[in-house]
Amino acid sequence: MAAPAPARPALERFLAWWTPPAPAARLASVRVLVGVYVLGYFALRARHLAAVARLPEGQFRPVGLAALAPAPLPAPLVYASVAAAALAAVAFATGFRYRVTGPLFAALLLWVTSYRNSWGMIFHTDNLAVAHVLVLGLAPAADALSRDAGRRGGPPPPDGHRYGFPLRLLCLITVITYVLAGVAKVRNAGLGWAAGETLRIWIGIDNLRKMELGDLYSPLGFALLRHPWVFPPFAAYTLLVEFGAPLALLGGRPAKIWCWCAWLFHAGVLAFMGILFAYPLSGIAFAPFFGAERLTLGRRQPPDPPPPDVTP
Amino acid sequence: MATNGHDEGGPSGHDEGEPSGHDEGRPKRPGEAGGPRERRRAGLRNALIGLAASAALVSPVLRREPRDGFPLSTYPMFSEHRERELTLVHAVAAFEGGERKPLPPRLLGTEEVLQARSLLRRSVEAGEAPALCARVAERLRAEGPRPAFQAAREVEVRTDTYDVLSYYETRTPARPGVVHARCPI
Repeated sequence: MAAPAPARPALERFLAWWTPPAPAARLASVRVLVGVYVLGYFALRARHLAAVARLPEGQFRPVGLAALAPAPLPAPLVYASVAAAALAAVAFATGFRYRVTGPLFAALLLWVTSYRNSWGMIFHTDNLAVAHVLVLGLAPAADALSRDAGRRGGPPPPDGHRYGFPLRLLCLITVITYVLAGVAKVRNAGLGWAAGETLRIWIGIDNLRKMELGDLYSPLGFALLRHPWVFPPFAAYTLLVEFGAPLALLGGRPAKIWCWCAWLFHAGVLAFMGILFAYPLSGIAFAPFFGAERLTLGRRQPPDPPPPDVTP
Repeated sequence: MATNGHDEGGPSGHDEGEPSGHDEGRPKRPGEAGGPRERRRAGLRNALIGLAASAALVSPVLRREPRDGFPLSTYPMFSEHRERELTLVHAVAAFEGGERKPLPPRLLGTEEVLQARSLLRRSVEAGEAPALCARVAERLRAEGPRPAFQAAREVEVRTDTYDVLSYYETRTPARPGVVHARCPI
């Protein structure tokens, strides 16, 4: 009878979980998807990113990387930085000269979004996408499905821990951001936030502000204010999604369930408040939890390449 | 970041360990791992990176006075308890007969409603409401006649207070507002 295998120490088990091997195409697929998202972002938002150049100087309250600027930049420099970031986004998405363009795009995106957020209002819709780009830009995310890989030629690189670790890190960042949002609610309003009245008033405030500031609002959110019983389930659901986020790190079915729940939460935010969290609603924010290569390469993967010839 | 090996060959790119015996003399391909010891070392390094990233993300919340920022945030959206009364500075087009219509953010020089809100509030605080009002009126004139604002007589920058929960039915302020600036269109 064979002796039982010795139990692996907890640290070894953790490290094996934390840096799992993954195909290069999986990480690269996440890069492609995030790249498509940021290209769309620039197509729709470049005007807004550049428009801050016209805001009065007194409005400037630098945050993040923009704190490096002692004063607002001249308008041409703002336009140039947005244009450079948009160009670098193309290189990021296509994996062109990624060793340079990956980190460069991450830095440029951080700069233009920091600058945009430095005019009196922080847009929390950008944080997660920017954090993901920072990780992807510094990771070997263009070893497959890229111009660089095409230029290099040969078979795809073998699965590696270096492809699995950035994916884990992306998942962890996603989870932490949701938990922090839950912590903020409990810290600022207590567990009573789940009773729904705070949420009801916020939905009223947000829609009223938009109406009185001449913007689009959610008629559904407004109409629901008359039905207070609707809000406790929504509020409890919100906290469940936010504090339940760590379950997604288990992978498999728990991750799938949580991602759908988080997506539904954002769909609700859009329906009741007219706030578009495009990154999670596109589903791309959740791509690192899954085999994203099935989206870019199709469900049927090409057969594995033959093992390298190691005969001396 | 240590994961950015981009190791297209050469020992400096072997961020997951030295090549094993079979690999010697052969350029290492991206993604190839070293032996168990090297993998463990890479695992520990990656764990430290994860720890550092987590600490950075959580750091705004751990301050005695949590402060929102970007991209590190406390994610305070809709978290604080609020009273049902809302006081708001806004720019409106005033019509004959007392009717008022809110003016869109683009007339304030921004596409973002929240930036518009901040701009209005700070302009009033700084005593610059008349200048802002004049700019809005100028932009409205420059845009040419628009059906929604064609009969408007003047722009007002004003502060109004609303009851959030009854506004949906009344569509009016809870009490008379304060006009900071008026400009003819």
